[in-house]
Amino acid sequence: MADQWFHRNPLKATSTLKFDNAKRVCKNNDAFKLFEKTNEERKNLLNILKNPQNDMKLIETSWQKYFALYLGFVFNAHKPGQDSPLRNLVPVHWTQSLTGRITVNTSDGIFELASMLINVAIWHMKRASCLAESGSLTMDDAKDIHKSLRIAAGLFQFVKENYAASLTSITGSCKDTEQQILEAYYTQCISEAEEVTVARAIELKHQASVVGGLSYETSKHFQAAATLLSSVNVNYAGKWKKYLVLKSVFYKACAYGCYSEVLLQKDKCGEAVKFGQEALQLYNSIESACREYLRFKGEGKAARVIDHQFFRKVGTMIKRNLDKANRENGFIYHHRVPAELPQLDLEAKYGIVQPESITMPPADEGWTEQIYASIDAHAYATTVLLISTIYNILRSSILT
Amino acid sequence: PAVPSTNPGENEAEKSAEGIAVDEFGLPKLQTG
Repeated sequence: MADQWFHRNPLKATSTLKFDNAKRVCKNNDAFKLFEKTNEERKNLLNILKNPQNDMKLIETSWQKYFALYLGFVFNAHKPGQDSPLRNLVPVHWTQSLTGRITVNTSDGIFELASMLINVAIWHMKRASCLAESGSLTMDDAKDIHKSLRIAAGLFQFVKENYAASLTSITGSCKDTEQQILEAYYTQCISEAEEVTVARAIELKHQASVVGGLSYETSKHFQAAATLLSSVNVNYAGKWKKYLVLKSVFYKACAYGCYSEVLLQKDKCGEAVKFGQEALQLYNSIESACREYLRFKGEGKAARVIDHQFFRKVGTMIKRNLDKANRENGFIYHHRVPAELPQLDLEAKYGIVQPESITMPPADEGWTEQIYASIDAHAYATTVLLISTIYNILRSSILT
Repeated sequence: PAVPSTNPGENEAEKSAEGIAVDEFGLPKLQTG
């Protein structure tokens, strides 16, 4: 069993959906059966999400089945672009991945869609991490890890582009549905998929310019993810951010180490020495950054980067390149080592990761026109007024 | 992290923007033999 390489925030918790309000306005037996079926599929999905070793197809089938049912609560299955009258009648409660047991409560069905998709994305991240820990990885494992991270990125992107804007009025801090948190998750997944490709490129002994170019891009992506968390409460997001920063430094060290080799191949030995020295300095700084990250309190399963075989492998590469540059400068080139780090000229031409595109299933055929037609307009208006009053009372008591 | 053992020739043929054959990870295919 290898050491954990990825930081993983926990899955979100939720409670059973209660359809009392929906039943009050929609007294239709077929609808009641749909309500029950929805809860069953939801329970089943939540149950299989607990195990990161479950099959990817099982999860895909399960969330698509659940969403086919739940989408009918949120959107009118027969009037494209229109909300369902039931959208705000089912109370939804979810914890957030960064805030432990603090629950966010709302009656907006969009929040349920977003929260469940985020949970499926976190499951994919956990699955990737679990596979990466399994020790001897096969080619298929690497493809699977890469795919899971691309799917997770696609899910976060989908939630950000389709649901996040309509959820901004929901109260609570550090919500997973906030734009910058979704963007940070998305960027982390893209960066980690690129890590898989960097590892593969090193293993297959690709050219230093290929490895270095992608490493540098990966470093920038990790830093971008960390920057997105700058405005998020440090007590909740601080540990996660430290992980992202230390990964960024690691890949910068890797890129500089590779660039040292590229420069040596171009007979620019003084600059090669300088980049090699800088790479080693960055690499050596990771140990204390990692200890600080491990000590920092926060949600999530911590990565043990400096204990990992891949960390040591990159360290060996950096030291080897620096030794070679120093040796050749001493014997052959006698170049002056610049005091300032010259401009890095590396471009990532290969291995840039794109997210998987996500497609929603069509609404379950059980959502008939008759069900929507059977909604009692008077009961609906009364129920909505009641929910709105309760919501406003709760909101003002929270704010005062 | 994920370091696969692989035969570089086994991957499907895809091409990069520059027309170079790449593997599933978007890396250029290595010449073998």
